[in-house]
Amino acid sequence: MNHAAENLEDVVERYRQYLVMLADRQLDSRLRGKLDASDVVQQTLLEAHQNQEQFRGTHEGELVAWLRKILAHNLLDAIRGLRREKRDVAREQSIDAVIETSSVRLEGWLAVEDSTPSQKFTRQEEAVQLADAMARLPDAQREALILKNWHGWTVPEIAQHMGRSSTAIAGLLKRGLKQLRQQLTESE
Amino acid sequence: MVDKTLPADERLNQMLVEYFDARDSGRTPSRDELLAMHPDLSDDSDLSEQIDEFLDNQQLFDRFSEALEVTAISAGQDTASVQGRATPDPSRPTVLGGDHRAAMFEPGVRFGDYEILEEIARGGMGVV
Repeated sequence: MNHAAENLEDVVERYRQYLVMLADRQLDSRLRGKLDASDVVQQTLLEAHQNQEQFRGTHEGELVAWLRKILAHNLLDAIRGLRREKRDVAREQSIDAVIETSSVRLEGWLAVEDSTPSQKFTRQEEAVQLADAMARLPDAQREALILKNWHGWTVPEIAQHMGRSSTAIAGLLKRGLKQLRQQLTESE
Repeated sequence: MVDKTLPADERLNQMLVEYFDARDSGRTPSRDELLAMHPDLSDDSDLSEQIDEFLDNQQLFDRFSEALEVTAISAGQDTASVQGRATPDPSRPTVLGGDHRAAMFEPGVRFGDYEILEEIARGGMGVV
């Protein structure tokens, strides 16, 4: 990455959808209605911009590792904020366990980010392509794909959650995958 | 059972529901098994083509998805003995270890297959 030639802000912007999908992947699906991954990513990019003098890496892999780390911190903060908000609400108690699990997972993620050189992430470009393609899908298709493939929900569970029939969910998954293929093979 | 009088698209969706059901109970049917579940539709070449297309698309998604997985790396993956370093920003809660662990991340220190070459950034978000 050439800092002189390219504005850090522009480079960072390229990873917006990647970070949103990463957050969606990490967040327990039961928290998805309570936390907006896009908001957390927006804050993350803002902080990256404000603190850009702290980034001293020399290539894009290091930059993305830095972004992931800010994101993980922000997600952790957001989840903890949720716990404070919900503390007195008895019917939200089951969410506590979910919050706890998510926090632990994010701490694990941070520990790995801290210790693993960015060179490991040779497949980052593919991940960014997938995230950008996912972002262009209709909301319902994206939601169904995320719940099915990344959170392991069954089709009837997704159907109930989205208020549609099982065959309608199968249709969303099928069309979503088809559209992703078109986009992914175009960019290959 | 898939109702043969339904439009082709709807028949395919019903078959996919059955495919996902089977996969969720731990036995992913192969393409042929999936078609064999519906011998009444086996002469429908259009349908088997669409199933092939679906399975191809799912496979492609899985490959790209794995890339996201690799970069996301969740807890438990070769982290057993590795402690993270705390964020020095006092306005943020301390998430991981404290400053005394900084020595673990000095250049030259190795983690498994990795060696710390240099510190690339340090600041409110921690040390990268």
